[in-house]
Amino acid sequence: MTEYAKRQEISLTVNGEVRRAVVAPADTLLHTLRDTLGLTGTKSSCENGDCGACTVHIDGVPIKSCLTLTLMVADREITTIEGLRDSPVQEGFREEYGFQCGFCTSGFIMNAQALLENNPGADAATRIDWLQSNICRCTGYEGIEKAIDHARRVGFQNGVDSQ
Amino acid sequence: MIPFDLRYVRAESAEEAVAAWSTANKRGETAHYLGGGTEIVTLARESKLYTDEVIDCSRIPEASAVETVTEGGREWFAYGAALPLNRIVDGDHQGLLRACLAGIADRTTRNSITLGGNICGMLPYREAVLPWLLAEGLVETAAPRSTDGGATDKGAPIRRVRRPIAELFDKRLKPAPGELVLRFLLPMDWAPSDVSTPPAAPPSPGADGRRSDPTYGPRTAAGPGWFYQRRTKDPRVDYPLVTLAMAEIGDELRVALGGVWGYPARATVLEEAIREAGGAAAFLDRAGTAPGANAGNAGHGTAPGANAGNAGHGTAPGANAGNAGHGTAPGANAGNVGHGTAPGAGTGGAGARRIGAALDAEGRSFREDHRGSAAYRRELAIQAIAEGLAHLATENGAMR
Repeated sequence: MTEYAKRQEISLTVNGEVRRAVVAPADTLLHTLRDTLGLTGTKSSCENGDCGACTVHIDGVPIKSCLTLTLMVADREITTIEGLRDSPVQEGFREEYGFQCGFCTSGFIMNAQALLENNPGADAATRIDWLQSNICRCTGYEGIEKAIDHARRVGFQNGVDSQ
Repeated sequence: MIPFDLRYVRAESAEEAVAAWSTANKRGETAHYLGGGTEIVTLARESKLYTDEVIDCSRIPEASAVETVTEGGREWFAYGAALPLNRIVDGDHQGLLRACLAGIADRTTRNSITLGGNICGMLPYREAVLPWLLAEGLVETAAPRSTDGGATDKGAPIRRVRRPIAELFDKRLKPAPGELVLRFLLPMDWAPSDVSTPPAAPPSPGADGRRSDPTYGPRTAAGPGWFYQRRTKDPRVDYPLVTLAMAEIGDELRVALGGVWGYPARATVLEEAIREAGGAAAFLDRAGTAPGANAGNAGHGTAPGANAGNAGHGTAPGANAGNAGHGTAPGANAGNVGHGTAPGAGTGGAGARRIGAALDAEGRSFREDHRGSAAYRRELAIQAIAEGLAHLATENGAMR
């Protein structure tokens, strides 16, 4: 049994690096990433699990960091948008103008990255099912869908358009 | 951000979790068991829940696995309460179970929401419980010895108990203080099975413009036939106006509903009416020959319920007329409440009236909120049930 009764320093593995952070038991992962570790690419918006702007990966699985206590995932691999470097999904968003104001973009990219890593051949229905986890206030969904389709074809299927 | 301090405990076993709760209790503090954390974090942030301690149960081995166990001389699938919903949705599991879980929240959030968290949650929907209500499954809990009225296994720090879910679920799951919900057991005949329409299918607007995505599985030697439909106000992610789950188990047709009332429940009066009629097909057939309906329907010797099935999918005015070859015509509309788009359709038919009367006789208040009025929820429930009955009668031959 492990117990954390007060604010204390812990180790977190973020984007492949071990980071030290002072964390209170009530801290959400979202705030630890942004306010303690300075990884502000993960966005804070609804803080209610609705918008998906705070999506990060835990052991490769997308989760909403606003709903997750940091201590719950302290021994897991955490990946944020800063951990992606010119991924095909990022390229897709750039090439297809998959953003408008850009606030929701990192959440969409993290979700789409997990989708395509998990299922490179994801069909349109599956892509839509996954993307419903995120909200774009600018309603730029068409560009976002094109961006992910671009990433799927170019980055994950070697240009093969199977869908 | 949670506006108060709390203590975080990660338990590696049920014994540790229950001991942590007992320790907090002795201090006069509140403690909550934590699965995925989504509801506790949300409610705490909104100051709707206060706790001195959270006990993370996601690392308890039996609470985070699917295993087979023996209970009462039978084999069961035991689903850990700390399993994220997507672990089941994406796995090789029974179709109705996967369908019910796939309707909850959105894809990403289902990576955090756990089976136990949804069923024990404070929101009124708790759709994950529907398969267990239908299957009359079991719940396995671990309780502090001090709350079980005298443990029989003296010396053990906790007492593990498996009980029918009906003993613990009345509108919501009601474990005793400190009792940890560990696993939910389904009979072995709820084996992995296909889903006719994958849960990942895009929302297909029903005739009324709302999401209507029925899925179903055929009755097999190994498992129950079933039907599932979820209707929402928003065509994408939304809480349900109606979630319908039906299953043919033995010679019974069981019906469970979520969203319609303020909590999920079996529609036992309706089930009894169907049983008295001799099954779904006979229930619908009787509806088709009810006073004011087409008495000639039965005389055409059509398969009972077939008309209702056709009518349930009728989408265009006059669609019913095209079913004349099936011996329909006036009276077929009795079952034509599936989408309610053809002239004479809707909830005015005899079948709809019988379903509505049975739902009213359940004695439960229909839920009313900004998504839909009580009357609207009732109407949608009738539509969904009629479609489900028609489907099971025609596709699965339910109890002809």
